[in-house]
Amino acid sequence: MSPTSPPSTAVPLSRTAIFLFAWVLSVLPLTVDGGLQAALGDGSRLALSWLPWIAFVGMPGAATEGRDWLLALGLCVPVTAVALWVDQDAGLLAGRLHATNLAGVVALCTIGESRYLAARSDVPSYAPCWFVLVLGLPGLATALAWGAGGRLMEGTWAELLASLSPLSAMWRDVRQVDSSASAEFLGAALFCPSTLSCVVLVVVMAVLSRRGRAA
Amino acid sequence: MRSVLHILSCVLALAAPGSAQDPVGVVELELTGPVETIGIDAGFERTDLSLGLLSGETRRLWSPFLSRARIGSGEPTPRITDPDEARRARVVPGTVERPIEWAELPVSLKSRGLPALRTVRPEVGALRFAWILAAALLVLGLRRRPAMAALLGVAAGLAVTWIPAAPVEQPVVRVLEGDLRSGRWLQVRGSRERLQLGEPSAGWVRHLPQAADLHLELRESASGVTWSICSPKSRIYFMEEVSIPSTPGLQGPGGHAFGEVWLREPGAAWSPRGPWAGEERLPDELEGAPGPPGWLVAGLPQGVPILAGRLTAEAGEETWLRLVGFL
Repeated sequence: MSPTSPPSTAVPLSRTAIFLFAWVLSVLPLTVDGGLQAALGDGSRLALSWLPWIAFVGMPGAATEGRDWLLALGLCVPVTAVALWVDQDAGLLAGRLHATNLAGVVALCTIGESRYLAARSDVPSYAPCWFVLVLGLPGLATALAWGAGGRLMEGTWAELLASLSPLSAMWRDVRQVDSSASAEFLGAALFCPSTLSCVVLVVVMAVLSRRGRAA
Repeated sequence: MRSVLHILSCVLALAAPGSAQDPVGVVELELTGPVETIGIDAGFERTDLSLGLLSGETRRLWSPFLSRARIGSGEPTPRITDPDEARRARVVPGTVERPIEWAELPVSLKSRGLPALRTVRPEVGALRFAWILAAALLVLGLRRRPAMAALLGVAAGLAVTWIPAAPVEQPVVRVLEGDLRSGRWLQVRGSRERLQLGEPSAGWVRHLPQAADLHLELRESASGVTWSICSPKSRIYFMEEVSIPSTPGLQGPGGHAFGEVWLREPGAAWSPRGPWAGEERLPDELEGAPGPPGWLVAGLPQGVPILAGRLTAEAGEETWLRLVGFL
């Protein structure tokens, strides 16, 4: 199928179930449960709502004909819109929130498209790439920080590696709610290491997919 | 060359944004109704006040006004801006009160960090939950057409922000800043979006981000006149000098009970002391108790004993204390 032609088949049930699970997880930070809200503290609900989508949208698995990440986008936008409203009304910096939102949309679309391109042409290197980028780097950074009692991360290569992962970048946005760092600006969200690594992933998958189909 | 530098420094001084703290003065007004709103011009900044005075009513009341300090500026008398308003409202001569220059305060009071403001989030509400649930079901119904599902989701996301919601009342944080060497106290109150205060008094206002719109509101109700500082999507702080008596023999603030206190002696770390009634001797160190919050001890001077504490909660307001030169 060419990238511009409309998908003709439904999103498989297994993928739909994954997206439903992500939807439930993204709604949780918005619930009125007092204990949960107290535990989350001042953390950005918007960034928390984006986390499950970034984690699940590119999960390797069943081959699909269409761009199933569009279904994930349709499911997540109403939830993240409410999370944005909640954070904005709580007085969090609007510039930072819009940057978080933009970073979330870019991550979802690029990782989802990478998975689609890889599944279409059976690119075997997608699964390890996705694992390293989305789960491996934040896992490694967390393990190193845990091993060093939380002192290793700042200004080290482990922090640089973690910043390449969209999941780590979104987790950082959960905590930096009142910072006046450069992420207030949308440009910073577009050119941050995690967004660039997502773009690199989609470009690499497009190239490998084209080669695979040509072969 | 020197004159060029002089002109350049004057231009930069004029172009610079207002100082970090903008002075708020008070003035007595004589009003004859009907008066809905009036504007007060103190030379640099206009203050708009909502009054709601009925026809035929005559009233004298103290009103705050805002002036943004500029380098080399004088201090003009506040005046009513609109000629129509000026017929119904006038400034009572000789009643203007302004705070002292911020620079005249002791360094130990000026250099402290602003209090952290707690965030109260609005409740999502059943209507919004129903909306996102309905949107999810419709999107899932379009499982065979993912592009249509995405469009529907984006439309539902845009529409959900239009659902009306009740405004959230943000909590007020109060910090009593004391400097026992000079005997001066500063009361800092902070909140988000809207800081409601009691009787009008002179002081300084700071709002972050500084570019946000700032205005004052004065309201009269059965309980008296209250005023508010409003700035959408901002953190607002109002600082004023206050007089607080010291506890005899202890040099601490009298009449206050503390939920938690911390003491830092010169060259030592912060030592948690637990609850303190205020009148008795300071309790001994509590082993294993948590230290003070980071914002509370930021910017405090070195080499002097300092007491920091959280006062027992009053209704809807949390109060903290930072006292330099304790004991």
